[in-house]
Amino acid sequence: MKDFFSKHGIWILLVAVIVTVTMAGLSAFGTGIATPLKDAAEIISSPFRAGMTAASNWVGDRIRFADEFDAMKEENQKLKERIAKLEEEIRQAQADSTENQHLRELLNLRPQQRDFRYESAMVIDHTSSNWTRQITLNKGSSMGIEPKDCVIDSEGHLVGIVSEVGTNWSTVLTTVDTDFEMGAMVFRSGEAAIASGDFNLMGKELLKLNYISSDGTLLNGDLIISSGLGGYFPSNLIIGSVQEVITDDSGAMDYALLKPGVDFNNLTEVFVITDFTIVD
Amino acid sequence: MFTKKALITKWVLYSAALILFILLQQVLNALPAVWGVSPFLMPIIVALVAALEGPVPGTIFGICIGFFCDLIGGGIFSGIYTISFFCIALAISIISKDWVMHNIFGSLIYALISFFILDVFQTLFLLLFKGAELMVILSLAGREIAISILFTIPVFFLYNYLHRLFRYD
Repeated sequence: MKDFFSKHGIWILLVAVIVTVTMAGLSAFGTGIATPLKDAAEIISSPFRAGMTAASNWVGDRIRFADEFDAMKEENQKLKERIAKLEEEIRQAQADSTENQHLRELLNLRPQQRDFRYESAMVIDHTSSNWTRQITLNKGSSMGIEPKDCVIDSEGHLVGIVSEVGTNWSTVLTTVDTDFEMGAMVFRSGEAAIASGDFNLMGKELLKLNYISSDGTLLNGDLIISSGLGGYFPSNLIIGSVQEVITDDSGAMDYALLKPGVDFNNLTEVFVITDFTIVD
Repeated sequence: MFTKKALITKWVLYSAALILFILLQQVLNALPAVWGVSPFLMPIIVALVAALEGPVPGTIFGICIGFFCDLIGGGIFSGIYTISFFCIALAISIISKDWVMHNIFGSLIYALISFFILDVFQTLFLLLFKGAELMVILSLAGREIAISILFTIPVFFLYNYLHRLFRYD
């Protein structure tokens, strides 16, 4: 054992420390573009991961189908009723939109515009660890995906932000991951706040809404959307809804718990917003 | 005496077993999680190979797996697996040198030690830089260990079998 330490120990330790510090440095100061070594590792492993995930999803679907059939029938009936109600609201919204357009023309305002360019992608890996909440997508820089691009699901709920991009893969920090942070806004009142992931809430699939105005009112069920301030991220992406408002000892509002609209465990397809133009 | 060919064959088989367990872990990750966690087999593999092979091969194997895990991602900070798997391999190889227990019971203890070392790194980082609560961390670590430890048995049997195939004493 003494021989081992005297001959090799210090060198092995040195290699481990250099590798660790280099990787931590690249992570801290990196641009989100994967290093060639990581890119190669992911390119090689991603087909296997995609295959395994697809096979496991298929097995999981078969297992769940039997249990969920009755619940799905009931949900289908409720959804039909909801569609009827929403169609009525759409008709009203169309009338409001026409009126709004006329009023903007009268005031010589620029027409509102929300143009998004999407890239659809499949989720090939949900997470490689119990300590983070990331997903890996099967598309990367070759399809125009860049770090900090927003990712949404088919219903328009924010899934997360692209954190790292390789040639044919990308990693997404989900909204409940500890490293997630985004400018947010209460849809009902327009109050600004910051939505961020929190390790203490990650296991419950929740995130935090911080820096809420003390004189503002926040109610359970309030919809929280991205603020789009600074123009870095698009506005009006649904981050989640308020589940609980936490007050401090004096009774003032401290922070709120947000429930994301996305079911991260059953996510199979997402849409990456690769470019956007918004005129409010 | 070990021939070079036997040595290479052994490590090729060790690597093949590793790929097998990576694929198994991938399947388990994609299935619904039990108690909100999925098993993590890599520290167990690092610990058992270090116990079977000794300090130098065990530590190099640990660093390589750690580096691979860091490349694939999922750690709470980059480099965590390289440094913690290095420490696991070194600690286990030192312990197993004087306290040889190449059986299931010994493997379970080695696996527990490996998770303890990894979780010390994760706990310190989360407490110092993320403001996480200790009880939340311990709860997650406890559940992860409880689920993962079950897989010590197949990992032990496969690696022990491969090790015995190439033992020259």
